[in-house]
Order: sequence, then structure tokens, then C-alpha cells
Amino acid sequence: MIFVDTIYFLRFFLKDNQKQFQTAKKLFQQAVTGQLKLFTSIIVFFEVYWVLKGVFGDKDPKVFSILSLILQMSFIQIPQRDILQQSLKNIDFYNFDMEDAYNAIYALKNKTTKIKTFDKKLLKKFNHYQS
Amino acid sequence: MTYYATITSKRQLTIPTAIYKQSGLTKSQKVIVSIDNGIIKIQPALDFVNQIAGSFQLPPKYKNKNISQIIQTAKKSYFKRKFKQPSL
Repeated sequence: MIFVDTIYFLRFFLKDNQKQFQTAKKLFQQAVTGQLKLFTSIIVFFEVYWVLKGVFGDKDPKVFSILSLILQMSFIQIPQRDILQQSLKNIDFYNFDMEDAYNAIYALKNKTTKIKTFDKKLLKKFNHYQS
Repeated sequence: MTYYATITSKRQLTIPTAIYKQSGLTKSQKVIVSIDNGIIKIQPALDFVNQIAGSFQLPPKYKNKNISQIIQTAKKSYFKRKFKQPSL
């Protein structure tokens, strides 16, 4: 099993460095044809999200598209992929804080009925998903 | 080209011969199965990777910048924005 870091995903999608783009592409091609097994972490997924939001801006649909494609890369193991997919599907696109959606859905999946936070947006999301 | 096919109790589906031949799929080939608005899509896995590789462009102002710096700056500004206001 090979761990894939944030930069690999960014280089693969953005092709801003030709050499590293080709290296990342080759790795994913090998994985998709079953020659290698890849995995990554939730932190990497969020790091990609934070970077894309910083680079493209808050409301750019490219952020959503790239995250969605990463989750479709079923040849890469991602922990809690189902929660991430659900979070992405449920985010309010124009007010989209992926971590709030993730935390709210994660809390609900663990069958909690209460959430302690000072973050109004997270509370709002939790109550919305709960209802 | 549209055909009827039946899903078995093990969720298996036989691709109609004509569609199989036209698709260029081969035995044991890896495919990506996805669903989009209720329509199930089967795509050669390698095509999927090739199709999405390099499919987004970095905004010009970030071209030729060090990726580690971009990551650091993007994360810093993101969290600065997120936590700048009192939440409650």
C-alpha cells in the first residue's frame, strides 16, 4: 500500500508542473489498472479542499468538481469515504464549509443528538441534517 | 443503442454483446462504475484517469509558484477567514 499526499492530487489535477504531473498520472494509472494499491487520509482530502478554496476562491465550482472526482477515484482508499461523499452532496454550495458538513454528518452517523460548539454555522448544519 | 438486460440476485449484469463489442471493453479490464442522476455509467478505468488528469487550470497568478508556499498561504488565509469573527 502506498500513501498519496496532497501535492500528488494537486499536481495531477492542475498540471502546473509537467514532470510531477506525469509522475502522479503514472501512479494513478498503475493503481487504476490494479498494479498498485493506494490510500490517503481524510486530512489530505481536506488539505486539497483548503488549498483549492484558497487558490480558486470560495464560490468556484472547480473546488466542488475536483473533490467530487477524488471521491470517484475508487482505486484510492479514503477513510470514511461515505461520510465525505454525503458531506459534499449536502453542502450548501454558496456557503460551503466542507469541514462543517463533515463534522455534522460524522456526529449524526455516531448517533449523537447534541453537539457542543461555538460555531453557529456548524450548529445550523447539525440541526438542519438532524431534522 | 438501447438494450434490455436483467440484474441477477447477485447484482450482476451481462452487457449485451453489441454494446460490449462497440465499447472496446475486454475481459478482466478494470472499469469505473458511477451513477449520475440515476444513470449508471461504466467507463474503462484508465480512460477515467486520463480524462481527469490535468483537467483544471491553476489561475495565472499562481503559475510558477512553489506548491508548498501555495498550500501554506491557502491554508493560512482560509483559516484566518473562517475564524476571524466571533462565532456566537
